[in-house]
Order: sequence, then structure tokens, then C-alpha cells
Amino acid sequence: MISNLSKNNDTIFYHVRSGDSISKIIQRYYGPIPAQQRNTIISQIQADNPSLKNPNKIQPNQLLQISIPPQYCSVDSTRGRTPTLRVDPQLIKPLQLQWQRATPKERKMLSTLTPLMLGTGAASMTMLKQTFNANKPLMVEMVKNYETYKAEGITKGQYDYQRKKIITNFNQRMGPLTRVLNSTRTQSEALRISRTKGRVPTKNITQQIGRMGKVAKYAAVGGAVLTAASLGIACGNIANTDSKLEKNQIFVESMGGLVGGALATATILFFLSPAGWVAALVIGVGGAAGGFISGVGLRRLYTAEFNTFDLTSMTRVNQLCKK
Amino acid sequence: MQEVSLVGVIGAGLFISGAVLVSILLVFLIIMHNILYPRLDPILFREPWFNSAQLDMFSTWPLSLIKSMNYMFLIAYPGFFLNRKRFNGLKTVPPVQPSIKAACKVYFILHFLTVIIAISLFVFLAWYSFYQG
Repeated sequence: MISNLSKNNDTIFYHVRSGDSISKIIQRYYGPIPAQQRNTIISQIQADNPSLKNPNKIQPNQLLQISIPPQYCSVDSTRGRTPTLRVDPQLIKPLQLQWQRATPKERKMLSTLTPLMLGTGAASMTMLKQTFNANKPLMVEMVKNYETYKAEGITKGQYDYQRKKIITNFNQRMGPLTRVLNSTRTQSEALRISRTKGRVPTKNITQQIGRMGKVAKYAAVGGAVLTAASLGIACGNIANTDSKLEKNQIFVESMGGLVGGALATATILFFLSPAGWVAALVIGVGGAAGGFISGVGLRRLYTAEFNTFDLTSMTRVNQLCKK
Repeated sequence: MQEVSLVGVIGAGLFISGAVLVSILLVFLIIMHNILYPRLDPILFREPWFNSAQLDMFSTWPLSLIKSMNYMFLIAYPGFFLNRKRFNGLKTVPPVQPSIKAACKVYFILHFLTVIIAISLFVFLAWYSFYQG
């Protein structure tokens, strides 16, 4: 019951205010429910919040991790809706730690900013994660294709054709990210059917699925990976574009975004030594905004003033990013 | 070869100089961080100048670079930065070698130049997108 509840629900951080009780909080999100279900939810909350020794004694300013239904019942509308978001479990621990160490003033600010910070951070990280996860079904399709062939449902020609189609589709969707997975091996090599005796023929494919899951996890860890991947995606876009002008536009926009983001961050840091969450947020948002403005502006400038300069050839990026 | 207008030259000039400066700045900051933090952390990296959240946050890379940047600003221009909020109450700047002090001044000037270039680039791009785009 508890695990099912967690899988389908959203996770939120609830900032306990004076007058709150665990029953009131549960009623707010779940509406009127039977006592047995309420007890199950309380057990879940206790399991998610090891610091909560007695659920009947919650303190104002505590931060509780709570699983709530995606379409929750907002019974108490006087305080406004608490923003909800799906949270990566990896983010929960550091957040709890920060919360414990924060001053009351910082906590107040943090409870407002957390959804935004986690939301923007998680959104960008999730993008990459989704890229991997969204392509898993293609590999499952490959396993099915092999099994259909073995069951003599399709001919060898049909099987080869299907396999080639899936690999091409996979390569197109993943672009240069396949390099992260396979290093120097081609996708076709990495996904080959094993002919070794005693080895499950589709083992390479299932291994690849596992590898994708791992990379997705690593990708959620840091912005450095994200930067590298976003440049990688830009590289993939350059490779998949035939127009020389467009290749250069993508290149200029990516470089402009990177340098613009760094310049904006350097500028903000010069004036503002991060003394709290607001400053940290200003730096993050400012860097992203600077990167965006710079990327778009420089693309326009290139298109109007420098479009005969083939920068991708001059910098050999077209050699690096090719089909 | 396409003829580039003065506007194009200014835009490209600002972008390239910004890119070069920010790269130099980052390398410089990493080098100075490695020189400064063993010397100054025991003296400055504690309360009341950094609160407990910052002590935690600035202990890890790359956020620790921000802490070293604060040290450099303080060493370069103590008269100004001793009175700022960050090091308010600190009587004197910890003594460092003249070469380190000179390097901190160079860093400050480079960072200031980068800021000027960055602001000019953003103003230029805003103007360009608005009027020319």
C-alpha cells in the first residue's frame, strides 16, 4: 500500500506553520478519508521523515516530505495552495540538511524559493534524463523484433530491415549522446545480438538499457554534465543540418550562450557576494538569462553581418560534429 | 568576402574580448584560490564573516571559488572592503606576500574589465536586437 502510494503520488515539502497538525495536513491534501488510510499515510510520512519521532508533535518551521495525490484536495483554501512538484529523491537529502542549518529568516525564504529552485534545476536535469528514458522503448522494440524473428514470425530480411530502422531512429534521436553510452563503438555494435554460446542473445541490449539508466542518473547529478550534453546536443543539431548557414547559426548561438552565461555570472558576482538564497537564485537566473540573451543576440548579429564567414569550418567544428 | 559594418565589428569585438577575458579570469581565479585558501581559510573562513550555511556551501568546489574571490577583493583594496558587510568588524587584513597582493590587484582589475565588457555586450545586444533585429 505504502509503496504504491509513493509511486503514483507527487512529493512535496510542507513547511509546517503554527496551528498545523498532521491530520489537518493530510486532510488538506487527501480530503476526508477513513482512519485506516490516514494511519497508512502517517506511517508513510514517518518513513519519509526519520527526524519525525512523534507525528502528533510537529513543530512550526519543520519541513516535512509528504506524498500527495497528483490532483490533491485543497480543503483549506485560506492559506493558498502549497506549490507541488515532482522531486528527484537525490535532491531531498541536501535540501533537508540545508533546512536544518538555515536560520528562521532563511527558512522563510527557502520555503518560498524551494519549489522554484528545485523546479528550474530539476527541469533542466530532467530534460537530459528524459532523452535517455524516452528512447528506452526503442531498444525494447529491438528485443521484440529479435524474438519475433526467432519465433519465425518474420523473415531474416524483414528482421534486418527492422533492426536497421530502429538503430537509425535511435541514433537520430540521441545524436551525440550515444557517444556517452558507447564510447568509440557504433550503436550497431553496442546493440548486436550475441551469438556466443551460453549467453542470452539479447543481453547486449538489456545491458544497454541498464547503461542508459545509469547515465540518466549521473546526468541528474551536475550542471557540468548538462553543459557538456547541451553542447553535445548542439553538436548533434549541427551534424543533422544540411544548411551551412544554419550550422553556423547553431554554433554561434551555443557559444554565445556559454560565454554570455559566464559573463553574466562574473558580473553579478562582482557586485553581489552570495549571502543567502536570494543571491544564489539571482546568480543562477542571471547567468541563464545572460546566456539566453547573448545566444539569441549573437545569432542575429551573425546572420546580418557575418553570414559568409563559415565559422564551423574555420574552427573545424563541422569535422567534430558530423553524421 | 562580406563587408562587415562598424556595428558588426563592435559586436564581435565585445564578444571575443569578453570570451577571452572570462577564460583568463577563470584560470586566474582557480590558481589564486589554490594559493589563498590554505593561507586564509584558518583566519577568515569562519563566523561571523561567513554564516553556517555559507561555511557549508563555500567548502565545496566550485562555490569555494567565490570565497577566494572575496579574499582577493579584500587583499587588493582593504580600505574599501574592510568596511563592507562581508568583513565588517575585521580590524586588519591578514598579512600576505607583496606578490600575492599584486596578483590580487591584477585580478580585481581584470574582473572589473570583464564586468565593463559584459555590460557593454549586453547593452549592445539589447540595442541591436531592438533596433536592427
